[in-house]
Amino acid sequence: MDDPMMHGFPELTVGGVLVAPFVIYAAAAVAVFTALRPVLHLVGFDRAFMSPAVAELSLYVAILALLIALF
Amino acid sequence: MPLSEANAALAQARIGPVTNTEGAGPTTTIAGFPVSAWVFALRTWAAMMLALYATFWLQLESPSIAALTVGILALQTRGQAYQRAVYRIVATVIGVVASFAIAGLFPQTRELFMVGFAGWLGLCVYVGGLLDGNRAYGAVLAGLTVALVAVAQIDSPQNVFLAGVNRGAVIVVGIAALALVSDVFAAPNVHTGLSGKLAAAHRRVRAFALAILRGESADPTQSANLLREITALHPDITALASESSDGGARGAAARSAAVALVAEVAAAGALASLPATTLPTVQEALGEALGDGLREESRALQLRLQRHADVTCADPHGALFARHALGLLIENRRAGDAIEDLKAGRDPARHVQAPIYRSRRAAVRNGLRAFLVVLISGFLFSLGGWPFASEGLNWVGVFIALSATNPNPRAFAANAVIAMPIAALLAGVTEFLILDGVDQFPLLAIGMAPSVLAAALLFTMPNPRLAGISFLVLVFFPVMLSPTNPQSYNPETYLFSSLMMITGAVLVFILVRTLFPTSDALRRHWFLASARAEMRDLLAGGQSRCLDDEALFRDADRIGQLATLQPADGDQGRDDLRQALDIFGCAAAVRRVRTALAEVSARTGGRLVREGYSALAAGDPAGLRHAAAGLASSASALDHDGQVVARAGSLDLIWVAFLFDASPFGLEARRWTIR
Repeated sequence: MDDPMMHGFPELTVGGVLVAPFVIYAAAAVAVFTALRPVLHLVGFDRAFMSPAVAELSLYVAILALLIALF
Repeated sequence: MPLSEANAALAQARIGPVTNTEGAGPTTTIAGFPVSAWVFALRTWAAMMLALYATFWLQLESPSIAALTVGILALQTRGQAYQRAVYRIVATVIGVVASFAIAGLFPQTRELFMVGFAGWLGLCVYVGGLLDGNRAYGAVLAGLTVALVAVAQIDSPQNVFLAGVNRGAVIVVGIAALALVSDVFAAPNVHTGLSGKLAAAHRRVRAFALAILRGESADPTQSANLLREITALHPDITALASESSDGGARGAAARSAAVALVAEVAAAGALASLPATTLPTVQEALGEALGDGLREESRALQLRLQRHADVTCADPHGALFARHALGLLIENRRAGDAIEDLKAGRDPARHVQAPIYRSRRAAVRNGLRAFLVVLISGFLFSLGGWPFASEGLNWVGVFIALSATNPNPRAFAANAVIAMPIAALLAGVTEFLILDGVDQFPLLAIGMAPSVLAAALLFTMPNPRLAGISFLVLVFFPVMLSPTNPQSYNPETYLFSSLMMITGAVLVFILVRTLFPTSDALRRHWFLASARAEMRDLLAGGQSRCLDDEALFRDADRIGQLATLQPADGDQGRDDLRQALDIFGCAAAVRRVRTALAEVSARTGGRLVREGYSALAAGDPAGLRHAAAGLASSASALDHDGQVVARAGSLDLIWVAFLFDASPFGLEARRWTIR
């Protein structure tokens, strides 16, 4: 029986080169973050923080962590 | 500060806060460099070390590429660095795919492989010549990636794929390191500096307009420099989108502001062509409205000007003055509002594009030069039969491609000849004297620090030559040092690699000077010829996909580039600028009249405008005046809105006729029509 605490990671092989699962998560997080940008502009995300750069970086890390935890 | 003074200060390493009392405000400096320059240098060094550490940890091949990536992306603002990073990734992917194609098409025939590589590089350099800023860099990078991936593996084409994947991986690591360090250590935003530059340009444009209203004549050099100042912001404007989630809106606002500022300069230039005594009371009111920028008064003046422009053509000069003054006022307000939107990160009221002008002939020449330089160098290297010859060839590809992104390829090649020996010397001293066999990472980081910090500090200097050389040292020092885990400390590899890199730079320096040298006189001739050709097309009825103001921005970009060329002998440079500005004004007037006539035509089903179009195509001032009179007299049959549009069209026709008559190049204006 599968252990519910165990977490399988997706594997991607390009031309015989195995791509690390983390790279796939990082790329997916970039895609999600890019798709979220118009929404962030609408809600005034940048204006809500003193340092928008750090806030956006933190959001990216949160999305990345969420993707790793969920999938 | 002069170079020797800065070096002396650096050599003494006298660290202590010094207050600079010159300039607008006190700036704290350390060893002669402002704190912001030190922060930039430390950020670059930290990012480079982080990138190296990560590539060592991940056991990727060629960690020096990650350090080189940080050097290349070491731009002073986040937006520019991120935009370049995006283009670097995209161009690397395209370049690696092209490497497969070229290596796969010519597996056993080196001669054809060389021709294929030279052709691809030439094509990429040509495409880069049609773009600006980081986009041009991206285009040439797609070309030079083939040099670094396929040419480097010329003896083992089966490794091309692995080399491509490795290169992509280390580039991504370098980018991630720089992005992390830039975000955490609060690298400056591009929008803050850009809004300051646009506001300064706006102030200067207003001062220019006020001087014209005071009766001063428009100096062509001043007008051209204003246009250059505005259009030179284009690369920064395109970098805004990648900076933050508000970047898209900020980019649109900045484009809108830049386009409005160019239109404001054009309107002020039009006012300068009219007699100084036209509507003195309106001139005074306009001067006050521009000077204090009071919104309500400016609105009242706008209504007053509209009334002046709407009255019949009894006083054409007065009506023309009112029409251009109205344009000036509207563009002034648009520019001010758009700069406010840029600061606030809001979407602007109007979305426009800011197309740039690039000389196709110059791009073709650059492309052909790159093609021939690679072929000739390949031939010379194969004759030499040296080991590491393929490395020499790939550096030739890199230098010729990068030189093409520079407005002056010769200056870039000269900088490379100076920078490469310096980078080689620094790498040699670091590797064999400072590190000398150590294998701990912290010692490597400390050993690299002096060279990286010095190059990054000098890169922030305003002197373009010094900054150019320092940038090349910053980028190529890690490549020559070639840090690996564990470090090999092989003097033979170091000597051959350095020799090949310096030979590549010298070859490019010689070939750039001898193959298709493009003098400033030739560029000047091309710019004017293209402006005349476009004017001819415009008069003949050629359609443009751009809005009038967008096309005006593109024309302004051409004048801006003309203004950067070395002045010709005597008054030639000033005459060229005057001629270019005359064509700029005429083209703006003709576009405007075409838009007005199209509007009249839409309201009247094509009636009333035929005479106007044919007079335009003939470039005949008398015919234009006749068409204007005809349009004004038949306007009374239209409804109120139709009358306003027809009067505007009639005035615009008179304005074009006036410009054709007034231009000292008037005879030439009529020659535009001769095909």
